[in-house]
Amino acid sequence: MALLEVTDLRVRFKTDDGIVKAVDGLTFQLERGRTLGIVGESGSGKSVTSLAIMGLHRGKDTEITGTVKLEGEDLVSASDERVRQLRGSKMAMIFQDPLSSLHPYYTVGTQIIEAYRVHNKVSKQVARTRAIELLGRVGIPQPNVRVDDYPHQFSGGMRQRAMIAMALSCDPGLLIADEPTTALDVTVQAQILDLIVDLQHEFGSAVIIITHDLGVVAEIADQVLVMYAGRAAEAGTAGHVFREPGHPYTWGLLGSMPRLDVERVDRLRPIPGTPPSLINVPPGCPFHPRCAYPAQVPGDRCRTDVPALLDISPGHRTACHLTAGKRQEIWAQLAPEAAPQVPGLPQEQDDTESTAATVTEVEAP
Amino acid sequence: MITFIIRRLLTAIFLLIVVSMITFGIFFLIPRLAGQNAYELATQYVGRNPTRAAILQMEAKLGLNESLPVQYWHFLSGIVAGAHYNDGPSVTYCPPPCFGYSFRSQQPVWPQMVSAMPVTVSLAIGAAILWLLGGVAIGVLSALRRGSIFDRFSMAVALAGVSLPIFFTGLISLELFSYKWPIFPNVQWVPITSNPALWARNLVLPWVTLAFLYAALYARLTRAGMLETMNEDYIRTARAKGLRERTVVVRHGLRAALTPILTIFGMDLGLLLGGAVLTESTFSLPGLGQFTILAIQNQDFPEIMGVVLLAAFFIVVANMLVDILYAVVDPRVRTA
Repeated sequence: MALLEVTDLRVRFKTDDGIVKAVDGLTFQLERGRTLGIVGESGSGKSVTSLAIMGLHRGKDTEITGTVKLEGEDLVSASDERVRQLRGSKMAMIFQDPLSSLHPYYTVGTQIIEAYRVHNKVSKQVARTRAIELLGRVGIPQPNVRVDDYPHQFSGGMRQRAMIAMALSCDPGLLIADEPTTALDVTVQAQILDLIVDLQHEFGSAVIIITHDLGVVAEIADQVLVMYAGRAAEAGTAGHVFREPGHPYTWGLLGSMPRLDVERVDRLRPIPGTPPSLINVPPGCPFHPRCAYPAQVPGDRCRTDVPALLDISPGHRTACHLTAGKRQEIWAQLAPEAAPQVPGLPQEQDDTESTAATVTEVEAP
Repeated sequence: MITFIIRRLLTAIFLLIVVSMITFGIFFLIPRLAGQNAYELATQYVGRNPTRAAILQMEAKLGLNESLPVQYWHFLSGIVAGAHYNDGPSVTYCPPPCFGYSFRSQQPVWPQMVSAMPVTVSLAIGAAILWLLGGVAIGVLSALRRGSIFDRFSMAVALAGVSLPIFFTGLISLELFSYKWPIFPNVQWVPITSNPALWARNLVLPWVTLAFLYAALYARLTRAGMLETMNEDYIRTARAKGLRERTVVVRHGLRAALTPILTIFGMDLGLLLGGAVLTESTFSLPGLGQFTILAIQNQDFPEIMGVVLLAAFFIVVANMLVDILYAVVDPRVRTA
């Protein structure tokens, strides 16, 4: 059984302008100890997905259907109180801006102690020792002194480290990181990613990393989910998605990534247009108004039929009407400029088997 | 932190000196600029149809023929160290803080203000507790149930509260609860030392009337502040930690939303301590507000100057306390 099983998740917000279909039928799984990267532009539903998993979108104007099973327990149908108990203990989250995510009036230590003591009946002193230990573990120098500092006395990177310490205080099985490095200096970004990877091995947590930065995903994710307009456009291992992407949207994302190693003939190629309104999602494939290839599909299927998320190779699925032949033909033309050269990507691609192998490895401790 | 307090204290003293200069200027410099001489000024300090000798004696007693800086110095040193007035045959000592003698009663101004103070303090503090608790509670509940019937109703009442003047709500409450249904009959000032129960009973109507106005204001402020803080990222973090909603609202939301309220509270309380003019007149309470009105009606310069300086003192002190409290509440201010 996977640690996290999301099945046909739909999140809708009622607004004055109409119903926003922020997440529309999303299905994915995450094994223990693995890392899933969710990629997409702003407004593609990636943050909403993570907040829905955490149960932080339970308002009266929000409608959530489908199932989100964490260790076999459905969170969508669970009571608010049950989900609250699981938040912080079995699943934790770190956010984009670590300054605004920490309370300015309480010391970093107080905030970690608070997080630990909600779920563990221990004295303040024991929790404080735990907080100092965690701060040391995430690389804060002199943790026994800095524990009494306020967030504004920390640098950006240290704040995010403190957030990570807080999130991991109760040893959660699932850690969701929503754009954890976006607000940080480039030099610090790599350190934070390394830290997440290190701690993931140490704590054995599964990680969902949400980002629009494909470099981040390539560096640490085993599995990749590309989202567009609240739906999955493509899903597979990092090797699949980066080496032989099957969806025009993924091609666009890869093509708009700056690269240093290839001399480009012309400029970066941004994807034309903007993400659609989630109130009026285009009929058919939601990406078709921005896609360059609807003409390659017989009939007018891109405008009329919603493409299903189908296997194009074992474990690699994409939601596109292009035939396998067409797809390979187009990608072969794009690949020289669009294919990423990122360190950390597996060179060989016997992914399904190696994935299974690592799962048991991580589960052992 | 200590340097912060000392710096704030020095600023407060400086501010008070500036206020005293302005007040002094209004009553002594401006008449001079308008062409009045010392003799004419002295005329105002003696009774009707004074003799020339009496006026000259007053002129000498008050030192009105001295240069303005010297006069200001006497004025200031009188407040700080007391003053000696030469009546001719004898010397009268006016102990500090000496604001001079009232025209009408010929009594020193300061003891009169001191006797009026308990009334104003009783009124202001009692009302402040009511409006702070009531306003903040209603504001928080309204924010949490935004758009509910409770929210709409309380905000409508709050709008009425902000809009209706004290003399209107005060008179209505007197009419209803003192005359029609005499729950609080004979509203008049009773010192707390002579009869605490009666003191409290007689102050209920003024407290509620005054608190209603401010509670309305504070409810709206708290509601707006809570709506803003509850959308902050750190509230989402608090929820993500799995904290109970109560803890999220009180420890994380309200704590942050209260800080600006605190500032305004200090200012409002300081302002009221200088005299709740409308409330005191409406309920005939002999506090500093009444004192001010009488002083102005009688054109009693020493009394007016005294009460202006006292009111300024309360505001400056309240402001200083708020600043220091702010540093205690918000750690970011401390290091700045």
